[in-house]
Amino acid sequence: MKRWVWLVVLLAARAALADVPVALYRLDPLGLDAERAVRLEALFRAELERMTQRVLPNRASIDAALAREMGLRGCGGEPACLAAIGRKLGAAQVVHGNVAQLGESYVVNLKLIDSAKGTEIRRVSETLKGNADDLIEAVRVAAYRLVRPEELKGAIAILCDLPGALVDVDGKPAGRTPLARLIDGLDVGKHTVTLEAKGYSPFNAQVEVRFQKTTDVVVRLLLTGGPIPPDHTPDAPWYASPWMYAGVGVVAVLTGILIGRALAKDPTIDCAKDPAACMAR
Amino acid sequence: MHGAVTLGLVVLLPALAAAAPTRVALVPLSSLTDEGTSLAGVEKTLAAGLATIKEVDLVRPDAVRNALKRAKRRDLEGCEGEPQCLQEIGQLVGAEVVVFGVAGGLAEGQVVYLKSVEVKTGQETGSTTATFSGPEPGRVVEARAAAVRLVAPASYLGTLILKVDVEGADVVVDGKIVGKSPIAPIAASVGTHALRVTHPRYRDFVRFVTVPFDKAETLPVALKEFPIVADDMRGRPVPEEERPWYQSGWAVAGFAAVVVVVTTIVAASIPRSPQRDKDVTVHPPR
Repeated sequence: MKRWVWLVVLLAARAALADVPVALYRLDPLGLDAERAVRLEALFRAELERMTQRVLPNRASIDAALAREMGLRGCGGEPACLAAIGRKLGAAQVVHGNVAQLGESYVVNLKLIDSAKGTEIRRVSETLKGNADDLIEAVRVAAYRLVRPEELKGAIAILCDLPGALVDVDGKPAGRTPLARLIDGLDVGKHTVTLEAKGYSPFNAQVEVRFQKTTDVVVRLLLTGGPIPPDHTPDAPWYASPWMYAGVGVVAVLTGILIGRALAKDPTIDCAKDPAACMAR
Repeated sequence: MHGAVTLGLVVLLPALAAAAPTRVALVPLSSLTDEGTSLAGVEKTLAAGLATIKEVDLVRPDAVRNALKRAKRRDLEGCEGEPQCLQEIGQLVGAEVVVFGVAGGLAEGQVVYLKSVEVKTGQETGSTTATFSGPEPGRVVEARAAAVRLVAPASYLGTLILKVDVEGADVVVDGKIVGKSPIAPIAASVGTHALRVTHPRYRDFVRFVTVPFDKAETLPVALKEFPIVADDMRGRPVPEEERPWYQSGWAVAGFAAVVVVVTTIVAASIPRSPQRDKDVTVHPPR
């Protein structure tokens, strides 16, 4: 009976771990306060769960799964043993790394291993100086750089009091002001934002797009000086073109003739009907 | 629940979660040295700490001693912390959990290594270290902290109060979103946590915060706005296109009207040619 219970428990545990896209094996501290390292590992795992929308194996469940795997428990980060750990956990990919501190310098080293092939997919290294608090953001960004670099996106919000201005981002049209929504899905880094409207000098700026942030771009309409002198005589509208004048003239002449002829006196005297007029002649 | 999320789940040990308090026996302490005279004070402090846990029905060391004397179990009086003898002591006093400790001297204070044993199974369920130094009030606080760590570790919590100066910012603790600002006090396990307060238009506020036991850590969070990219469209408006008067619609209409009028006058002034002579009789003048 007990054997059956254990079998069910093992199968349930295996099912809970099965088929996760990625698992974080360890984020080892190297010279860093152990408690902080534990928190960084927890937030790294939380970010992975947010990315994958899956509950991933935690440190306890990984330790339990590897309890009888003496060879794997001593894994020092070699791709072969990490891949074996990934297969054991039912994870397609495995993350392993460390957070090192040397004085006021910090380094986050991470690598992503393909569990099936046993090869390294990607490696990320983030270095920062100064405050250990900054590791919180560095580890989070490193998680995305490693596992979902395509999700390192940000947005730009255009705030412009000139309606109808054409907005371009990196030469691609993004709509006309006022834009109904943010310009999102932009890669992190610098982008060229241009606004053009007839009669106004174009707005052109290098805009920094930050990870999961919205950069506000405020374009003020500044009316300075008098109107811009026209650089050419505007074309006549169609209804005032020479051809239109000619056509209207012809029609007006014909109309005038018709009306004039209708109003013109008839010189013929009907002496039968109007003998007096006839006699007057 | 407006952002009030308990990080360390406020779930006591299964036995403690029940409505009835758990009967916990504090076994007389053992000493690493021969300074047995000072143990009474430590026992008293530890008992005071355990008694502050409302889910605990405490059997004090004196009551344990009396029970052992009444039962004439002198063998158990010399128990040095082996699970079996602790289990027997627990059974004797009707406790569900037995707490045992070994005290040792430490410069100006004492350190006590504590462990708890479940009487039913005889298994060790927890262990911790309490360091006592300084005045009595501080010792009782330390004793309570050690007692909670030992018999109700899930209740080993503190409170984090965040005063965020921006509304609608996400508060993330150890990677988990716990709510939006303004946020109610957060119950968090004692120790260091990775705090991140994030808003799309502000720089993230990141900080390792240390949450104290049974106390509130208040942290003002001043978010800094990103520099806004701002500039003017320095151009001037193009004036309304100024066309010659003859290019307006009114000019065309006026032209048409003049032509019609002139043509009408001219056409009307030209007499009609006699066309109906054949139809009328023209009489000779009389």
